[in-house]
Amino acid sequence: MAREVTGMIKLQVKGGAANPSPPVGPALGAKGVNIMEFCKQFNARTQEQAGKVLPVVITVYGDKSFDFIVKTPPAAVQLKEAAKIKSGSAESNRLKVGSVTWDQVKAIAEDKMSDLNAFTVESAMKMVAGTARSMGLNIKGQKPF
Amino acid sequence: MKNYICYEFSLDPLQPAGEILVSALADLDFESFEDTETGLRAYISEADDRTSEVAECAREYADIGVKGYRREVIPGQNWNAVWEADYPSVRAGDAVLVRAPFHPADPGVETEVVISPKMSFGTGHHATTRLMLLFLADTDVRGRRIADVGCGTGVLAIAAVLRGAAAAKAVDIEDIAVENTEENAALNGVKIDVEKGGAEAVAGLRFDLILANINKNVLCRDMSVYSKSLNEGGTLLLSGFFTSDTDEVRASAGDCGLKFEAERAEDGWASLKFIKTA
Repeated sequence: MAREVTGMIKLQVKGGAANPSPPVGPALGAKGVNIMEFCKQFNARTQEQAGKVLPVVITVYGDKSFDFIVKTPPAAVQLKEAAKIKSGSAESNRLKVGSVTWDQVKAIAEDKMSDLNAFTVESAMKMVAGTARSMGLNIKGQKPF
Repeated sequence: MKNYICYEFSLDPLQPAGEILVSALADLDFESFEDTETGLRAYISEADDRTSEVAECAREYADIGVKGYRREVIPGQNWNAVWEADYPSVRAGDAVLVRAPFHPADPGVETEVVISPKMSFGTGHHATTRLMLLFLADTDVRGRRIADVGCGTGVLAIAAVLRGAAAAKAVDIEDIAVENTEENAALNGVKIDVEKGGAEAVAGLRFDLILANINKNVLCRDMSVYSKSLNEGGTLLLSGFFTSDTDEVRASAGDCGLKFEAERAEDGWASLKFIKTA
């Protein structure tokens, strides 16, 4: 018999950095899940992406056990990485204008297709390109569509 | 328990403002995020709070849908209290029992460790703790000097002292773990030298046994410190990594003059035992 699902929790947590503080602590703690068990597993599984924001979907079962899936970073995080922009100061993010290539947009679009609810790579690319422009990134090269 | 700050942003439309905010706030040391029906919640410890940068961020992205935000302090508390109020005790082999103060004592067991975890890691429920305890039970620690790096609840150091270790030092980078190890040492009537810090807190000292249940990257990074802090013939017990990572950990240990001795595994998690050769 399938285990009874008592909760689905969607968060975005930096790789290797889950700790029992909010939002992980209250979200899991309220369901009686052993938070430290989740943190140990999440951090071990994401250690190669330490510091990178990763969406995680946690399923909690009636016996207080859980499992979780880790997705790839949001498109905006991937775009920032592709453009090699690193902020972290009070300086305006958009003053640090960078650029990405259409190939990079395509790679990110393919990676995020299922999360973007897009049926074709082209429509996913358009969404990612829109995000890039909203971030102040230029897209270099010939538009492929 | 640390206070946290939650910034709740109102967004319209939700995307791409939500993910762009995440990418910007992540660079400002925000740790975690939660999408809501009307926007985004972003979390940071009060000590790291960046109020002016957040305000700047919200202004900058007003044109893509950031409508405003409110800031709320979330007082620190034991978020794991529900689980901690009612969990089973754990056996590691025949020799070691880890239980909470609310469990009945078991006079029949060789080593009984009482742990009140208060949001620290190490209650015996995770395979890595059990694997380390099994190795510890197989190791003669009587009269030995031991160190527990990344001690969490202090369960390993306490078990070692209860099994006859002469002196124990336990270190952890988290304040709550340092406090909790002190509390648990008192619960078990043992003396442990507890200090806040990582491997650097044991560097320059000498031990006969070092226990470290952390993660692969930290263990490999600090392997030379563990090796230098061990007396010749001393034992290093490691865990916190998957069985698929054991080759990398073994190679790192080998590079630091540590001879592989044994491996244990459970549920895909591994624990390795090494001996300092020279």
